[in-house]
Amino acid sequence: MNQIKDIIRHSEHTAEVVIESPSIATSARAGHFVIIRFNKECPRIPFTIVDTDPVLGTFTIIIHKGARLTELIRSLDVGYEILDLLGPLGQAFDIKNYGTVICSGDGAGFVPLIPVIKSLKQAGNHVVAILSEFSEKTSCLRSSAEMYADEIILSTDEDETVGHVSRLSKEMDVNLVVMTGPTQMLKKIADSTRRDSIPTLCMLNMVMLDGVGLCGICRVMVDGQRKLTCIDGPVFDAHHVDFDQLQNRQRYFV
Amino acid sequence: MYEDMISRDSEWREELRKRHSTKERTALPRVVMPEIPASYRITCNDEVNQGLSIEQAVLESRRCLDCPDPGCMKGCPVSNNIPAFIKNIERRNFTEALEVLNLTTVLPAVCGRVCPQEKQCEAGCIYNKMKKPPVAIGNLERFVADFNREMERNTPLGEPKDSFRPLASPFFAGIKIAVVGSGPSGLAFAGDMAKRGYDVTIFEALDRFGGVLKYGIPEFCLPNDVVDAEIAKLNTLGVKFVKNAFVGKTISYAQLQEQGFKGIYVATGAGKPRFMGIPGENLPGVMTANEYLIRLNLMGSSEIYGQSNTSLKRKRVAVIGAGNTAMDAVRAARRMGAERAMIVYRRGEDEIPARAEEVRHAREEGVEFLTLHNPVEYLEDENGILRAMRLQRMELGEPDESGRRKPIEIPGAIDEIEVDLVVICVGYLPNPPALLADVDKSRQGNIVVDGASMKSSSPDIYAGGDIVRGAATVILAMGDGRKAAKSMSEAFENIIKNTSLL
Repeated sequence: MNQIKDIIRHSEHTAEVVIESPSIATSARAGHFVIIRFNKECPRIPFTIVDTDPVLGTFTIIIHKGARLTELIRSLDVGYEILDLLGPLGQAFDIKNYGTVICSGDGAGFVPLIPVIKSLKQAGNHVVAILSEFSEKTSCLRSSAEMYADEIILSTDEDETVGHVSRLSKEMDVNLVVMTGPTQMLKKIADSTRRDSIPTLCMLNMVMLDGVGLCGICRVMVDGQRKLTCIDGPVFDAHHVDFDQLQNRQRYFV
Repeated sequence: MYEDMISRDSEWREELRKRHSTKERTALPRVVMPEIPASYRITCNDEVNQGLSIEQAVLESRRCLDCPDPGCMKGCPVSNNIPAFIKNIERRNFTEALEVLNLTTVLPAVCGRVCPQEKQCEAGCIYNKMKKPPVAIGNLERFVADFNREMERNTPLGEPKDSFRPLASPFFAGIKIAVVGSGPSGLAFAGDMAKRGYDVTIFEALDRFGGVLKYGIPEFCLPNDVVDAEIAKLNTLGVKFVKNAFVGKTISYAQLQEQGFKGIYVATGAGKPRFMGIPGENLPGVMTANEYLIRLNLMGSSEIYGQSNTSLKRKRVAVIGAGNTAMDAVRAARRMGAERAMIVYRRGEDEIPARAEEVRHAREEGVEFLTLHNPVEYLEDENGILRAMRLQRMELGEPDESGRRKPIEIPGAIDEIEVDLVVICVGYLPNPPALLADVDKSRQGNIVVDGASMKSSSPDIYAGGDIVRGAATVILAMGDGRKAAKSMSEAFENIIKNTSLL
């Protein structure tokens, strides 16, 4: 149980890890995540479930968290037994045919979008992916995006990404925007799509301790209500998220 | 077979009663629990109460008058046979003292430490009527559990003691029972069902067992070793433990039923933190007591004390609320080096709900009590980080519906106090029992049960502890577990009886 079946090292900082768990492999949906404690010294860390293989009974995560986990990535190998694995957690993304969907993500923040893009595509949507801050570090994510999205736009900075969303919204009939990334960028895109009246969802990436609703560290105000990303999220209506407060809180935990 | 051990009419007990006169017994002062000094304990995580020695325990047990109609037992939510275990201490049969406790409780080492005895068993002690301090029942219970644990430490746990399986019936052996949550209520339920012979499995969402006993109560009040030893006892009874299983989320109730679980006991607790809804609660620097205590208890900070990133050296910390968890959090803050550690509480001194001992310990450790102060706003500095709290001063008015004097705002009396960390501890909501749709719940999310049987509106699902009552105590949660085990087992007995009649 919880054994690492495969590991693909894209770089020193990034690895795709395939983990055995028949129950997660059959029950996970786009939007779900797991909480993993690799070993006794390791904290509990949330990871998006990027892919599942119900036949082999495995699921995939992408570890990409910068230097803090570099040492950990190095220590992992096929056959490694993960100490603690809890999931699938969170609310699944509501997958249906929306029409045309823009999926915009930044760097490592793009990871949670991968299963969403895949599922949206399978549901018949036309998916345009915007992969920003494109660099060597995240190049592995490009192939995942290319595999499922109808179009891919690469962007190098925040304002360019916001510009792309705004331009696309005018050029085509966009039915939904799904976004991840730094809070500042989420806020800018939300402001832009609010003006254009395009429904917009954000997928939040928050620090979590227990992941079962106890600690409250992942709280976020949505439409004046206090929500927990671990229980109620990670997908929220971006037009109602208090991004200023979120950004203020997040600075403290980085 | 336990008659001799527990009966007040046993020969040994009658003899014991005659050994000292009531006058001699009541002349004995209550034995004081040895504690490590406050100045030392705020530098470490060592348990504050050191436990009674054998001679201290025997001396204290002699104070017990072995009343014919013991008031203490009426105050115990799990109906421990208090005089029987105490008199076994007096005759130095410490193992039998434990066996008496085993009949009714699975967590004596825990309850001896964290029960509010002054409101329960000790409140019913005859000594109160004599205006003398009651028999130290909690300290004695702890002694019995600790003494036997130490005795067993060097000998591997073998077959459980007979007292652990007084009711075992072969009819129940194949009946699979699921327990959701490994906190005190789930453990008590599991213990009682396993004793009856059922095949019990406990499912826990977190990565270790014990629920609030682990993530909530800090090491200096309740060492994790003590909890683990109690859990190990359940292991010897055959109870199975599954961690990282969030029932209702990562595994559904329907799946449990498909796996052949015939009865389910939901004891998921109330750990969802409440907020006051005042400005500034989401500022960096404002956290819940759970966040603070989980960082401390589950994230290794208690193992690397003093060196962790949760250090509060030179920091000013305010804990909002005055319950047991608030005391735990504020005392933990002192241990993490906080320069000022304050309790902010809107009611008065006399209304503090925490255990008296915890409040006294907190005071000794230099905790400041800002009673009759209610936070109205948290203020930020120029960087958007918590800087200060604004507190409304209160005065006491007429008693409210809870019988406590109602705090009333003193118009215009607002203090501003600089603070680096605020820990919110103003109550808990029930944990979300996701996907448990067909069970009746209150508006707040508590599971509604029949008070006598702990049965929910869904067949085969029973519930108890904080998920039913809202945040309460370890012992009340255990009491629910025992009650639920009794009624669930009776339901199975009826089924078995009826089928064998056919």
